[in-house]
Amino acid sequence: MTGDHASIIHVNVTNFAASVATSRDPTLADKAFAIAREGSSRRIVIAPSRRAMEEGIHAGMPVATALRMVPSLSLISPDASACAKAESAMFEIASRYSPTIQHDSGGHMYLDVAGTTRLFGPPVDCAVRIRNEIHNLLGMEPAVAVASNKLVAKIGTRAIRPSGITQVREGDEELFLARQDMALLPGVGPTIGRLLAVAGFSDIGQLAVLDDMQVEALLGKHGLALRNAARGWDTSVVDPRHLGNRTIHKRVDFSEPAGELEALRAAMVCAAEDAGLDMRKELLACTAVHITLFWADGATSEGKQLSSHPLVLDTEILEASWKAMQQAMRRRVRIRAFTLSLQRLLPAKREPDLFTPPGPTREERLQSAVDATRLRFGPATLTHAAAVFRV
Amino acid sequence: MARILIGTSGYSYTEWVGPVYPEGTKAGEYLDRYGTLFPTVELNFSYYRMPEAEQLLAMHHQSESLLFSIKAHESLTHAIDTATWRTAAATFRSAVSPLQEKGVLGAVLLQFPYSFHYDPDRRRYLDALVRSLGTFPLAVEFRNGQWYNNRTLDALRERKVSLVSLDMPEIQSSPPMMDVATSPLAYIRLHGRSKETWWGSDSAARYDYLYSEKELASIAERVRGMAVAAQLVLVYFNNHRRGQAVKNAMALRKLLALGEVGAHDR
Repeated sequence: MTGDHASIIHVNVTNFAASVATSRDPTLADKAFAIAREGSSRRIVIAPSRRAMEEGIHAGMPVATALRMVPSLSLISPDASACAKAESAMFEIASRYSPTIQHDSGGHMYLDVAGTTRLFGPPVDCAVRIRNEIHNLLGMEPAVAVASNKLVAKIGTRAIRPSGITQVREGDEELFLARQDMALLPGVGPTIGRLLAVAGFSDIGQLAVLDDMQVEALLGKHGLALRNAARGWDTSVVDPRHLGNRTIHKRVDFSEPAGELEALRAAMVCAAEDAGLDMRKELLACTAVHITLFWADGATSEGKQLSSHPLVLDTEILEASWKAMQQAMRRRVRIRAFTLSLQRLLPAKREPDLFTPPGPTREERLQSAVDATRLRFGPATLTHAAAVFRV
Repeated sequence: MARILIGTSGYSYTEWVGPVYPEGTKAGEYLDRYGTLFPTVELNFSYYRMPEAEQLLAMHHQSESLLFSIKAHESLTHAIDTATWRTAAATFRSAVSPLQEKGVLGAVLLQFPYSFHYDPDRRRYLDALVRSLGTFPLAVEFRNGQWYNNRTLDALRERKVSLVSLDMPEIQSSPPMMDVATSPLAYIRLHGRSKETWWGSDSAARYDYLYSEKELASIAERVRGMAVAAQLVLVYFNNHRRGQAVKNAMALRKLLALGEVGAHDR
């Protein structure tokens, strides 16, 4: 195999916690079981086994529903320690093939194997060997895809899951994506999915062919990013830093240095909302917000807020951002710019409460509605009152 | 671990006399000879001419150890007539059934051309054809890349039909490499990698290719990977020109440590 320009490999162990359980106890291989926490009367399936998946059980489903569908379904408590060991072993295998690995949690890894052809052969050969080694050494069957960027590789693994391997050659991205189910496109959640379905869009290719005006009319400003994704465009790099060391960063430059507190707060609200939206699109949360102020006289100052619990909602991010900004505002000089960074990122899904009923809180429902509206009609259509000053 | 059987696409090539079959081997003896080399063969003549039960049974009697995979007739894949395909399918079914009854049918191969697009009419046709031939183990090869999507994979899994894994030249818009076990049978076809002669030349030139040792080593890894999720893996080399398929198939057997051909293969 050639196609060396497509050098990004995505490894995805579907329903990771269930796969880990099966690898530790091979007698579970042909059994319908689900990983679910004990204790709550309204438990949720965290990860179904392959057999349970075939019976229609999926992650996020209430355990009571799953048991009604498959009365013989076994329930197994999550084993965080075993999952961590398996993640570590996967990373060790991948490390033999590339120094550039983005190790996301939950059985996901991206490798950039550009420049390793002389050592290990074409990228797809590396991918096949990694897949086989994960099976032989860890007893798990991952889905593995090779493509020219992370986005297409990710859609590749989603297309073939629960297991297998595929390679999308450079230049064939749009062709490969065209007939894939819209739900495979990262960023298409329930809300956007419903919107696109109502508009008659079922394949990624139907979104890819829209021009800028059409897509903005349908989905608002953020729709452009989604349309570009549908075309297989992605410039993000494989980031070997731990997720906790990555940031979501926004910068605001004032046309004239700002002195009024209201103007500053309005701009901060907009930046925090945009950063929050980017973060939630990737199903992430954060536990730190960092603000840097750039004063008109060239000086800078910083403020930081740490949180003991993951910040997900705009209300939480705004509160932390404002506190950080107040920490940084130690001078009576006008401000020409500021940056806002969401730091110490972690997967939102890791937070068990997200899967635990009694269902979304009022704030979460409100956030979901706000996100949907902003994604649909553009970020300027709905914002906190404090931001209106700036608009 | 699955059983892995390796063979070639076709066995009846006059140009194999010399490089593969001993000098002086007559056409009627090819299959005997072939059966001493490999445990399985993919029959391609059935694409050009509708096979007959007696003919296939005779082939089985000639080489009883062979597991046969058989390519569907062109009237079912390339030259589909909506008015007559059901009759053709019935004829094909009658011809192949005795092989299945004897336990020597590996798979029926449905190979669709590039012009077989992923559209509602063709999807409905494929569904009907699969139901019509549903008693056989089926393997589907698509040359049009549109079919390599999650819905196709789900539909094949649901029907326990195998998606053929391909090795072929990397040409823009050709199918992506995709090894996904959609049924207990994994089916791998190796067409060679002759980019320059893939389009616009005859089949002899198109399949004129000898895999290198390195390439075979990577193919062996693919086969091992498929063996994890399947119960039976059938591998066929289609680079038949000058007996290169035989040379490569033997080398792959060795790489996979499959040993000598014998009754234990089946």
